[in-house]
Amino acid sequence: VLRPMLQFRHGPSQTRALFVDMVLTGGWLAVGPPGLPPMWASAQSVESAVVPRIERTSRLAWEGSSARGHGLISADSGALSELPFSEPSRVGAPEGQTSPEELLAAAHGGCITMSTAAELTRDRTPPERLDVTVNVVMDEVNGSHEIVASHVTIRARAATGADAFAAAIERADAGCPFSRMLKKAGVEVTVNSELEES
Amino acid sequence: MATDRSAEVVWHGSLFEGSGTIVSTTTGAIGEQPVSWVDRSEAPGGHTSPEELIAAAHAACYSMALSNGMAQAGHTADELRTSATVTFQPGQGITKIALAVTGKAPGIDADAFAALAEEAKANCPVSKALAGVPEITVQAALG
Repeated sequence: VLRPMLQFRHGPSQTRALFVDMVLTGGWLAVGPPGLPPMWASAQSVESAVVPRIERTSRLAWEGSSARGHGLISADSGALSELPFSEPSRVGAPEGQTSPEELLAAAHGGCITMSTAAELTRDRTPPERLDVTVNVVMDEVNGSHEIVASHVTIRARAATGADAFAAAIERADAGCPFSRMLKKAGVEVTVNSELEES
Repeated sequence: MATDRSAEVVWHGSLFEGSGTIVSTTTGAIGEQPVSWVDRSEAPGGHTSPEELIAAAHAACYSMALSNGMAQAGHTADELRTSATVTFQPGQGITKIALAVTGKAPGIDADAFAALAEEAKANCPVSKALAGVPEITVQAALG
């Protein structure tokens, strides 16, 4: 477990290897034994110092009540710019407008796709192509709206076998921070996968 | 009745060398968004990332929940400006989401607005789905 720690001082590619081990594949610290020995603690502080934490910001403007008002979504990267959204298009027919649930589906999809790429690469069978669909379901629970499920479907083209593929998908879901976060909040996360011959 | 929204991601190659595209398949509203590991973990280079999309989802949900809470308390939100900053900590996942909202509404005082702002944080469905995040904060001001 500590071997990557020793390697990472030798160059940036190892730094990334360590980072992906810790962040995308379950996190040593998150799954580590209780009462971490000092080496774990130092691994955390050294690692954090080398790979800074990631921050991303979005900005919203909203006018009016929830039922009749409307808003615009922008993201600081510039990738999303003034996307309109409203309550009717969120819970009813979307009419071409995005919504928090659709953005959540996109975020979960981006995350689990990268985790899957990382796991298949770790097996030395990097994917030629991954096609991932995420469907987020919001429903009424005890009179209020709740996000109840995120259904993931992964189709992969990679030079791997069925068993290794199934294991990689399981690790990807267990390791994807967004899958973990949603499960912790009681959201059902399902993952279906299919391997195409490479 | 349940509301469904879907997105699709296509990815080619390994994590570090590969790249992908996110599309919102329900509406197409976000267009084709390129994503890569470097854009996600280093400078974004004009590209979005899962963390940024979570920030957008949360701020959008929060704005609606707050406008709803204000309406129920008899106030109209002339304007709410909300930002959400998502912090992703190596080894732990998302550790913090900081919401900041500036509101314009006639006849509401700062304390009442702050109370509604806290309530919206607790009630919005995306907040509930993010209940596993250790720290969600909200800063509310009238402006």
